[in-house]
Amino acid sequence: MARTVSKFGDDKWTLDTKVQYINSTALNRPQGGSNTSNNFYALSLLPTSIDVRDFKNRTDNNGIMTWWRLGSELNPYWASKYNLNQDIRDRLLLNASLKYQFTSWLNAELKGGADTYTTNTESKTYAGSNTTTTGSYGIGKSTFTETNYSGLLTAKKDNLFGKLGGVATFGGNLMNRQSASLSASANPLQVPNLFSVNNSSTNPSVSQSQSRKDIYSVYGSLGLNYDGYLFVDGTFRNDWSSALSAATRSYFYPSLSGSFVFTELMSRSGSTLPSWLTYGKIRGSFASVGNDMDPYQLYNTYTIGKDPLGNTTAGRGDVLYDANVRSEQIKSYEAGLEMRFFNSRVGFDAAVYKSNATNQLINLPLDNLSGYSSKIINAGNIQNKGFELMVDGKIFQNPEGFNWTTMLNFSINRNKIVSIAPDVNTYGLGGFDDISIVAETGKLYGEIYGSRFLRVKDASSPYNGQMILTSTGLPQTDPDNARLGNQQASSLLGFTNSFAYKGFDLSFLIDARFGGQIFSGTIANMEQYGTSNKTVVGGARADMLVDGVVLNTTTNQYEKNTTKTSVQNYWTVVAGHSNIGITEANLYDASNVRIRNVQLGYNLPKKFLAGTGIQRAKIGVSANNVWLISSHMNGMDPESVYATGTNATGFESGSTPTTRTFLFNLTIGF
Amino acid sequence: MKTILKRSCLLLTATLLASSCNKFTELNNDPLKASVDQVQTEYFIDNSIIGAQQDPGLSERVFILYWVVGGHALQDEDGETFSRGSYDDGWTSEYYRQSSQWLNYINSAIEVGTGQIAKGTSKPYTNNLVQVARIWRAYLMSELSDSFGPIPTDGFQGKNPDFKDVKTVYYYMLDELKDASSKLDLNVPVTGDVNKEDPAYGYDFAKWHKYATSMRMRLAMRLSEVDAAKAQSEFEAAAATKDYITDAAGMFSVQELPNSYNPLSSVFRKESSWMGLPISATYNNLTVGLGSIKTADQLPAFASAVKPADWMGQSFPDQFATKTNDPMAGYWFNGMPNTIDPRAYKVFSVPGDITDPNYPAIGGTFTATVRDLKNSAGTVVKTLNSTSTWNAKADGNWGAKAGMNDAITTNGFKPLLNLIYRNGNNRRVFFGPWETYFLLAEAAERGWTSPVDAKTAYETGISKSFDYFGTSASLGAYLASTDYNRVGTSVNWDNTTEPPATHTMKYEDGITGTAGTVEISYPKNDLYKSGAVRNDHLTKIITQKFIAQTPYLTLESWNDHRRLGLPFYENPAVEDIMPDLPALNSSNYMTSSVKFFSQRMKYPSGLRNSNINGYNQAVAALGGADAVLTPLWWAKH
Repeated sequence: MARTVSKFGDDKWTLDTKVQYINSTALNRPQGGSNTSNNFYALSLLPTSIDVRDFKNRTDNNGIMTWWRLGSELNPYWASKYNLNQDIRDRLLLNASLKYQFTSWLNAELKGGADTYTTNTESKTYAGSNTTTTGSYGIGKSTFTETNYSGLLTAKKDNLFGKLGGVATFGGNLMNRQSASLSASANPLQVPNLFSVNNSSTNPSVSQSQSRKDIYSVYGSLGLNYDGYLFVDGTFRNDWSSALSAATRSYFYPSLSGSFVFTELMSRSGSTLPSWLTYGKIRGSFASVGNDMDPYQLYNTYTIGKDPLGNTTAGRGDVLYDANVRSEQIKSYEAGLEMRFFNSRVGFDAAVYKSNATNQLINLPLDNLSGYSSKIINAGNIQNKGFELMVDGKIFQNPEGFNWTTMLNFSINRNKIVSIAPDVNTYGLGGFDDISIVAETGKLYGEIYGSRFLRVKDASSPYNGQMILTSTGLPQTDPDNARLGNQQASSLLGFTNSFAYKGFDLSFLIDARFGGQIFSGTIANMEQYGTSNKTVVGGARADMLVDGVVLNTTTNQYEKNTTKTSVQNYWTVVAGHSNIGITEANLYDASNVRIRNVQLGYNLPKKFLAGTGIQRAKIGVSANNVWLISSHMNGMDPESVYATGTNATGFESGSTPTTRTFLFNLTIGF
Repeated sequence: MKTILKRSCLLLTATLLASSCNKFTELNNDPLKASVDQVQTEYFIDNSIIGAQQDPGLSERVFILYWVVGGHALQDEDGETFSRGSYDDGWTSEYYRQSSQWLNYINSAIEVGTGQIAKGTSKPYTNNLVQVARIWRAYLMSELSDSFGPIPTDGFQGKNPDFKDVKTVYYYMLDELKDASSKLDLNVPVTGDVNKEDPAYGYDFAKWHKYATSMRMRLAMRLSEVDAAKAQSEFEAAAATKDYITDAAGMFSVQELPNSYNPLSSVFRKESSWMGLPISATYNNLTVGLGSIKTADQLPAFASAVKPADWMGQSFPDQFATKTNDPMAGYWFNGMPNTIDPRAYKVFSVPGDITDPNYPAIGGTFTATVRDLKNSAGTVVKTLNSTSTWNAKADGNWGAKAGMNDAITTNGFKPLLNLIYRNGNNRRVFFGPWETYFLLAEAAERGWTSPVDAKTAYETGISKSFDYFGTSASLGAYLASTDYNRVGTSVNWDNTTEPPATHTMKYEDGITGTAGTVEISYPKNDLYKSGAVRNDHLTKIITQKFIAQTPYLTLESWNDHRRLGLPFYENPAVEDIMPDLPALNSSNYMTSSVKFFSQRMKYPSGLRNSNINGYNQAVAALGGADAVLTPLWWAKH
């Protein structure tokens, strides 16, 4: 990164330029979910009688991958060398700003900035596995550029009219965003292990994409302050987006906020503050934000492609577009109170908020026989309501000796679906097999639906609520799916403690999440395969007597079950039915408490540095994801999720275990 | 000065914004997508026909685990789902999604073609292409409806469609086929390379016309039990034109691609080596003993393994399922059958015959020939060798016996679909000339007006099938044969003598080796004429049709069985209860019932979410629950 700031023309002109270059290279990103490249599944489902190190040699004498079973699963040793992927991103961030100070209270600034990056991806699978006997290859290149040109006129003066001061700004922004990508893949290869796109046994499949969007904006703000204790701010902004049609392209959103430092008023009007009260501010705001959508979603078009023989094919797009959709809008209200006591040693900041996202642009699923799999509509009112509290205290404050600062963060958020669309009460967010995560009108976002054990539902029966088993003593699935839980946490808590003594400082952060459920596909699969510790009770796999009732077909009455069943049969039914088993059996409480972060640092004393030309030096070590103190998920981390590109977080399958990282840092100041 | 400055700034901003906003409209046209003027009808037709070949991910699920199982072409070795009355929502959803896509393409073809004709931008042959699209659309709709039941007839309008009952769907398809084939102008061929955009017929409109007529006959016959008047009138009208598929040149088939993963990959792709694809008990019971052609003459290399015609096998009642009306229940046939339909050896490999280039040696268990039988304590009681044997495993739940019988559960112990069907060098057949003749035979047998009499049609059908399989040398002797297969049917048209109630067979006790004789009954097919006849003309026709249609036209075999109850399907073994076939138990497994066989695919779970109105209409039209065992309108109830 390089940055220069230069002033000229009598210090009236300021030119600030900054250039930043980042190169990130990722080699062999892990893959989650149930697929052949997920090494974590291969390892967690490995029978306990097999030592994975027996397969360290990767291949046999004929170059074929060795593994304990047939099928498409990959030997992790083999995959680490022969199933490779990489992506390299070169990113350049450029910023320049030119500011001219007209007078002491008026300045104008012109800014230009660009964020451009190129990503090169490549994936190679060598020959020798069961899935692609000759190997496969894929290569891709994508570019992204976003440029912003803006101008802003700012006028600022305190005590303009009596004690009233203000700031006014007015400006505009031109944003242009472009991206393009080209990728090709050869699967399977003709000549084994020759990684060239032309070496495909059939035509290589090529895909291309392109996107361009412009947003032009005009905005301004007006802020007033009275005597440094009463503040009122208002902003407005209007965007014109190229992704919307001419009639709906322009959208306007204002905001208004105010705050009142009542302790300042009290001291200015002559009264003295109580000794314990240092600072108090009350604030409130209203804001609205508008959002457009991705480009090319207005007109229905056709796609041209090729069939495997190279002849031209055509098809309709998958999503039914509507040229009349409008922008989304999010309106939020917030009120807060901040107070500090005892010379600022203790303080808290509490806030309540409510925000509603309306006119959401969602892809409403359609019956595929309509010609489209979904259509874009403006719909929905999704509400977030909550409360946040931050409390901090400097318990020990001694610049020469021991210091201890503590901070507590607590938040509650309720994300509720107020409405979706007329006649639509459910909107699918994700899921597979028996599980589905949905947004349902009137309920919290992320309701989890799945299958349950078949139980007695007759309230008058003495066995009400007990599992109904087969004549062989095995549980059964209730044919109807039901609501089993919700993925949202009911509250979050963070607790940081920092200690400092002489040159040392130590801090640790405890993170807790309460409430919400998550389904574990990994544990379900492990139970099915017999590698989960739940399949062994007391070190043995004795036949088990499942607690439940059996229907006696002659008397038509329920009787307590007396038939034992093998452990294998039990778990095959519970965790194996329709791929990942009965949802209820592997739905866990996602609450957990962990030590998120520990940091230890040492500031070298000035006397060590004298004469070296170094002003200050600090060494430190920090660790992340230190210790999962308590959780309910049988060893899985409730923070593992199936995919990060979706809002359905209520289930996981074959997730990469969370990693613990250690960082060492050295800071030197000249 | 200030005002001028202010005004010019505003003017500048306004002009900038105005000019750029105009640019905005063009900006929002995706440069990579085509407009309606840039696409041609044939692009969509090609996409639709190619897609319907089913990429391996789909064919694995719907072709092999649903249709093959419903049609009893092969054993339900790999799924053990549909044969037990169960289903998988994932498989069903994928078929529904892809079939909707193929139908979407073909409807777009019709829309684009008729649009061009209206605008005057069409080619001379565009009208013919539109008619071809309508004919193919009728096939796709029949495939979808025969799988699920009620489907929409006017979908693809950009909104959720209404679901229609099966009668409306069939009447619509018959009208479409009649109208479209009448509008084909055989004097206007395609030009240039357009013929490459039709992998089936190369836009030879005469062939499409024959296909349409044959399809009319197939769909008309479907209504034979439930709407006989409509069936007869539609069939007679179509057959009277005599312009139907009569030879291999007119067969509707599409070439596969080897070593690939795309829709043109074989539906039985050998790279999907987890698919065993063994012979079905149904096919085995129909072909063994049928036609009097000796194994010793067909495969001289195996002459020494051939058993006498009255040899039953080795009896292992503890290790082989007995709770099924499969006539071979409880026996291991330790040799090659004395006589067998010659087509069987063209489709299936002989266990242990690994030097045959067509033997599917694609995985360890495919070539295993030595396995044990155990008793309930786990001790090995017998080791079996499968080399030069010929056995099928009945579907169903073998309970504890599955654990005791390592032999019949291993691929190498059963005749497996050979590599000709797995290599990707074959052509997948959608309508063969034999089917035309078997339909004519059935129509004539019903007393409908048919240009060919029943016996000639029957024998020509067999002849066309023998041509396809390359077994024509045996045709003469085969047609004259009066021997009964294991189900009591013979080939000879004029021989309608019913078999005796039982026949005496020799066997030996599998464990002790003690020889003996046993009276084996011919199975009673209660689904057809209450099981009273086994060798009438219709049974012969459908028996020959079943063998001819294996393996590609298995959906059509499933349709025939649901409609007529023919040929004889053995009940799934019920050594242990199957929760999804609650009516089948250890006291009634010797009788046949529609409640023991899967009747349809359940609608995908997503349909309730995306089109609740349509779903409710569909269930109401179905006349029963949305379940696997609910029979369709034209099927036996």
